[in-house]
Amino acid sequence: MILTVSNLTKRFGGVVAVDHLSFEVKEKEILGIIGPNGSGKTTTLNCINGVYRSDEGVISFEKRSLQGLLPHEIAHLGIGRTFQVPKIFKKMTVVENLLAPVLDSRESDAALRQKALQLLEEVDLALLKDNLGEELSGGQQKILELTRILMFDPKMILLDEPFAGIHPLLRTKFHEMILSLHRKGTTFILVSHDLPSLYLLSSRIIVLDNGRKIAQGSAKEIQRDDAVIEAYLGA
Amino acid sequence: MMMGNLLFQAILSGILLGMIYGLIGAGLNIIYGVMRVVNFAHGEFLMIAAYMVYWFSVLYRIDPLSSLLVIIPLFFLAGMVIYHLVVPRLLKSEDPEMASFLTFYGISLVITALVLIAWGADPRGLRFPYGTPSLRMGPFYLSTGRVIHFVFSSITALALALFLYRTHLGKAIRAIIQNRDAVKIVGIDPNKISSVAFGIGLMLVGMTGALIPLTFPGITPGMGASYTLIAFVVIVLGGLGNPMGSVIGGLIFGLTENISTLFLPLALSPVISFLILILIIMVRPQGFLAGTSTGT
Repeated sequence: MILTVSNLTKRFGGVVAVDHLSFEVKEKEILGIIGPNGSGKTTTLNCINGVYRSDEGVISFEKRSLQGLLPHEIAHLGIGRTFQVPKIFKKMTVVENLLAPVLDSRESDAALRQKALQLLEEVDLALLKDNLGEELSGGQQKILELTRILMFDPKMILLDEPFAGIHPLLRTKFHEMILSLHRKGTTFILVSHDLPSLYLLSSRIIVLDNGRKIAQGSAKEIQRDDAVIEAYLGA
Repeated sequence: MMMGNLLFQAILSGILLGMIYGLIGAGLNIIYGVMRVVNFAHGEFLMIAAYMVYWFSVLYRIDPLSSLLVIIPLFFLAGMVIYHLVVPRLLKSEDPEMASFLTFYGISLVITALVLIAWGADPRGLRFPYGTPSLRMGPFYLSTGRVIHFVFSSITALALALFLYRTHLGKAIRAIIQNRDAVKIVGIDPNKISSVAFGIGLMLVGMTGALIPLTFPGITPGMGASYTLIAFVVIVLGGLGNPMGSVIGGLIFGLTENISTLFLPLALSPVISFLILILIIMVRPQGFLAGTSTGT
């Protein structure tokens, strides 16, 4: 297992956003997480990458506890993250967005720039390399955010609603990116309301409701699960 | 003809002073942009640098430009130390901007009081150490001290721009100004960048303060407040969180201040500057350069 979440609990005042949640992610797996709004999907990702500190439970990445680590330290361990609303550097050019995070890299400037340009080429953003981040469409910004993570060769990527509000063509491009990275050995946790995409990409899916895991299995299995139908699919 | 000459003279003076004001603002703007910390003691740090240069000159006969060899590293290190002692605690508060404003206002009062106790209230000044105190350019006269300060400030502004736009550390500073959350998830330690940024902010104001005795004659314990105020006007004009915009803001402020003296009593020139400030806040509150490619 590359990631183990045991008994994770996160409260906001009296609201229990994540309630004793446990699951594991295998190496090179694409794990999908679905659930109605407010079921704790994004909070779970925020606890994994250190944006939130959990109130209870243990999260381990490659058998190392993430307890007490800050987001940048967790990123250094090899966990990348994207957000529902992409957090790019809007006043920097596309290529600068990729080069800004490489402060501690031991590679030469020329090698880093070459790597950035190569990645932009692969995701069809090379022609826009000198445009400001804010000049990209919403979908392109999401692709840029994912590409930026690739600059530090993450072992695992947490994707939060990557397909929300993007053009179908870009969605297909996004699918290809994920599958290509997966083939190269990257592990994913994919949170999405886009069920067709999630069913297509995920090898396994867990379903959350009110911060609790109510089902897990393949796409076919969870589509037949009564609890899931009641909590989410039937809604 | 006479009016034309006076106007040209005012424009020249405005540009010379504006670049100096811009650098003062750039230091404050880097600190605000990276940490959202309002360093209300910015002018007092400038005042300390001015006093240091005065004492270097009086005690060791070291001229202001040579003093920079000590001032630059000292203020950079002081900035990093002050950051680690004060800022992380402020950032944990519910309203870091207000908490920092009040804290640094308190620090400014403490610095002023300590300097007053140590060296008294009498204004102090340097004998101009670099030859003739004024330069003649045709019908125009320029203060040599201001020209030296302008040249130094221009070189510093250029170096700052190159640092921010050409180095990894500079790009990381610009990145954190734009999105503090995003830098964390791509592996940048915001604490490390913030301490460097505070060091740079204080270094810039220290450099400017060290040359202030060449530009304005009197060094007093109370001089800091007016420079803090100028720095705030400049960063609002140039765009909050946009260090290089401060240079433009400084030039606008310097020109306005100097040109207004042609038409108004000297005592009223700050009024014009602040009227422009109010106008900018009403019409374009994000500043002149916010939203452009030069913005951070």
